[in-house]
Amino acid sequence: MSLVDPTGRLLIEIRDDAGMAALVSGRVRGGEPAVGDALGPGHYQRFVVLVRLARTRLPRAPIQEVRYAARCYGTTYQDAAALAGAVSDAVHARGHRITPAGLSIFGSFDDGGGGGLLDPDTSQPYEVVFITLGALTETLP
Amino acid sequence: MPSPSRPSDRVLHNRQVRIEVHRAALDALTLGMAQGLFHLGNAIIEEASAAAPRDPEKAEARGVPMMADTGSVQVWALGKRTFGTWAKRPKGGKVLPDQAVLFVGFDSPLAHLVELGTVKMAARPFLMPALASAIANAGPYIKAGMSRYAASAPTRTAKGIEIKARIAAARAAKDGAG
Repeated sequence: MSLVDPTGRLLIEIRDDAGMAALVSGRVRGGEPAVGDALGPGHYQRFVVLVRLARTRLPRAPIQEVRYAARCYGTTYQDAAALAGAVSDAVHARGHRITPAGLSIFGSFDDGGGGGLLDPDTSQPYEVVFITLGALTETLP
Repeated sequence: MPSPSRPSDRVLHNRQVRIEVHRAALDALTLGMAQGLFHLGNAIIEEASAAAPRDPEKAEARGVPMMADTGSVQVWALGKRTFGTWAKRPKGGKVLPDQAVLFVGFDSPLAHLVELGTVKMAARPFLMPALASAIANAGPYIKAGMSRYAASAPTRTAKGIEIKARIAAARAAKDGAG
């Protein structure tokens, strides 16, 4: 069995969360922003980029702990903070769930975050939310 | 409401037992752990530095050290900085007086951008993977650090006595001169 990657599932959960959908209209991306997400000053819009930072696999059990960073871009520092809060609400303390494809996630948690930052290219404010997620390394039949 | 029955002799005895906490021994354990954490931090930085992107030409043009070479470790124990090269505690870092806390990081304004990415640059995590792999094997580092600290106890005691003697001699000389 190959090691399954829960990133896609986490991204869908954040994107489809009711609070998030109202804020970002589906602009939750994996790895890097889509074309048209990152605009210049005066045209900023909210979007989230989910990045996988590290994965730890238990040696004797089919369990992995994956750590993510969600970069939450807002129109202002306050907006970025509100978006980071919405991302946190979408994932924090969510219990066991099994997807139709058989991916089993035990839980996901907001593992902290930093203050407001500025993107060096567009100067758009953003905040980072660190997320830890525990999941099986194999899909269930 | 009925009055409570008299506690048993055993309960009364236990209430009178005095528990003495050997504070120095607990502090020694914390300091031993701090030593282990320092070595663990160095291992994390070594692995992260090896994985970090390097661009010596750009660094030379800007006149700054390469980001991959700016890794630092800091350990706090008993409310004091016990190991490490950073002069200040990292921003936002919290330390409780009865804990041993390890900080690892890269002292470069570019480090978080490389680790987490920007709108025009994909993330290239180098610190978190090193941290994740090291945490899984942290036990031996802590154990070795505590063993080393325990083994060096006689030397530290002798050194403490020597320092006290030197202070006493200096005071005596000062009093004599006065």
